[in-house]
Amino acid sequence: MRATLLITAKDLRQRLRDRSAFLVAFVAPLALAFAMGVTISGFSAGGATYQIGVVNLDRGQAATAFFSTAEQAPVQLNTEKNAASARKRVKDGKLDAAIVLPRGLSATFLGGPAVQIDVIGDRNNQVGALVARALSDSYASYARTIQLAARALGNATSSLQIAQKGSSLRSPVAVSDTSTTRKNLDPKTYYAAAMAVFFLFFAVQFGISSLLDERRDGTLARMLAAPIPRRAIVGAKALTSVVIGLTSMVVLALTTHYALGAHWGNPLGIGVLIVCAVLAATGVTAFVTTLAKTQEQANAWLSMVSIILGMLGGSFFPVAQAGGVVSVLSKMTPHAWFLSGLQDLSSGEPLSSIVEPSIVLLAIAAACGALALVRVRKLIEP
Amino acid sequence: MNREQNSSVLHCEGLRKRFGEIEAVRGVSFEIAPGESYGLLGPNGAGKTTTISIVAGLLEADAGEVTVAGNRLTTKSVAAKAAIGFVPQDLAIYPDLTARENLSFFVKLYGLRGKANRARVKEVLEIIGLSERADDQAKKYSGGMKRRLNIGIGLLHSPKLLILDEPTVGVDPQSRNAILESVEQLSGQGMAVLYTTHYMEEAERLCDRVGIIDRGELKAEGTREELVALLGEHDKVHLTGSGHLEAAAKACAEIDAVEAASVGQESIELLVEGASAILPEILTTASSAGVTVHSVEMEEPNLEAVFLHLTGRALRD
Ligand SMILES: Nc1ncnc2c1ncn2[C@@H]1O[C@H](COP(=O)(O)OP(=O)(O)OP(=O)(O)O)[C@@H](O)[C@H]1O
Ligand SMILES: [Mg+2]
Repeated sequence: MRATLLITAKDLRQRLRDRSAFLVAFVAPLALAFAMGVTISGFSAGGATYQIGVVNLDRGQAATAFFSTAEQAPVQLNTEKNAASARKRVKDGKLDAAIVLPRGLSATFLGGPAVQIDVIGDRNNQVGALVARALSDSYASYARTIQLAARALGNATSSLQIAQKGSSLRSPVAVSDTSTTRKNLDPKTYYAAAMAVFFLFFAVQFGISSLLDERRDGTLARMLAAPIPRRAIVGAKALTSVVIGLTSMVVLALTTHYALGAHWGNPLGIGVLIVCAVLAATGVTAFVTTLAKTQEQANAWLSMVSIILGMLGGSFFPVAQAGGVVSVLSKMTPHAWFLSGLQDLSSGEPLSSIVEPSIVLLAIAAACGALALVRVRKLIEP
Repeated sequence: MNREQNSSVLHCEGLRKRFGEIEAVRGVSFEIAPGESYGLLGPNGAGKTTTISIVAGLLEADAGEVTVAGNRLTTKSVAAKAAIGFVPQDLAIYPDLTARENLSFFVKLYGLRGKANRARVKEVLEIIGLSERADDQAKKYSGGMKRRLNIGIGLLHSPKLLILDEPTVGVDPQSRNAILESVEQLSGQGMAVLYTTHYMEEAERLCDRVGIIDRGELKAEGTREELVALLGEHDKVHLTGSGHLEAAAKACAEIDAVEAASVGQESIELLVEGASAILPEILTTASSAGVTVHSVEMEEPNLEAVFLHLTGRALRD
């Protein structure tokens, strides 16, 4: 154990001295989390809320349903007297866009003639218009679903009742903002966490794969000649990975929390998830490293594996919703499990909700770690 | 165990190691007494590094036994390894750490901590002449300085047996001399030394006893005098010239009194019984084989001649 700590201390000293570990473990993920968090929140709930005017010419139950479906969107609805005044306020920049709910909207639900929802936007505020457009579209398709449902039930008059009940459900086509649904992290937190776990897989490489450096530089032979057990050397490399990984994750969580306003959730739960993710990353990295013959090969393979896992695991865009093969593959990555654990936590689920992701992460760590241990023997020969 | 084995610092018996098709070490046995310096002399690929790697506990032997200071050594043994200082053939230092940090780290692996650690590191820095640059990163050192640091790490824990694998390869003459002097000094202080080289001069200068190794086998061992005595009445003739050296060497080897002939750089090395009588015949044979002879020298028999005698080949070709 003493030898393990000695080697780990030496490794950390070396890593502190070369800037690349610092860049990969802290600077790059922070910079990207900031960049992505800021860009994304420009479009959604994380940052600005959109001011959308609503001209309610319908004044019926359908309009009420509209207001309640819109609750889930990152918008603030302001009632406007009429289309003209709404148009003026949009032009003046007081509103991002406006929506006109036409007279007879409620009647459509009762089988009346089709009506049209108008969106008033401004050329200088394309995003505002898009948001209003998305709201309307989503409402329109919602209305269509209600009508279909009512027709299927063979009772047109009841469709408004369905609408009223339905308004508490999610619309079939949500406004295209993932942060609105309950199980999702807000974008800032999502990207902070996604970048942290993505770069974690690079950061831990600075421990394990230095075994190949030491082999190349002959210092491994020196350690093998010293009166220490071989497992101390392997253990130290894994420990270095874990220490760098944990430090990186904790620093990123704290920094993004205080500087970006990311909401990581229950600290205990986060702590457990972070430890499990770091162990999984160390296991995967150790396994890939033992497959390689040279440091160059290891670096190339590790980068490839880290990027592929990161993309599949949702480090760049949430893929869990994508469905199909991608979402199945996604479920095989540590990234996805870590992020889903975080999502559960931040949506207020009990601490027990991280048991499953934690177990999966530990299983990945154990499986890869065991394979690595079997293969590492050939690496620690001079 | 016999008494000799008990008193020796290193005892190897029947070491064998195979790498796939290549049998790198084929039954090597030798031993080193306390304070003795022992040289393994052999050409490239002879199996020196492989032998030393087994002796230092880096490599598992396929067969054979190593005992260091009374303790059986395997790749896993701790006690036996603690008695060994190891200097690898290639530089093995951390370039991004300073000399002091390099030394301090490795000596900690041997259990020296705190004050004792700092004191010993300081001492070794003096010995290797790096005190003034001790806190510079090793990558900023000259080649010779790196070499000295490389050796210094092996000395740190004052081992009973210091193993050096060709420490002078690729070293400038000045540093080379400094290295040889420090090895002489250390063995003078009672440290046993196992030294590999393919330079006959180094083996002759440093080592109390020399083992001649070729193709994984120890061909002979003993003091310089004992080895040279193996030559009997043989003399070594060194002939320089140009032309068909190979053909000439072959033709000379046909002469009865010539035991071995080997081609070097613009030269032929011959091992001859009663050289002075046979010299004229050698010269006529060489020139009729198409060689213009520039010079002929009869040399004092040395370890190179012994190697030629034992293997039929020159130590350096
Ligand atoms: N790890 C290895 N894998 C395969 N073959 C090896 C390995 N190490 C050594 N060999 C082979 O074993 C033989 C002996 O090599 P070794 O390094 O012991 O020679 P050496 O006497 O130290 O030579 P040199 O003077 O060039 O250092 C060589 O043929 C070499 O190619
Ligand atoms: Mg060698």
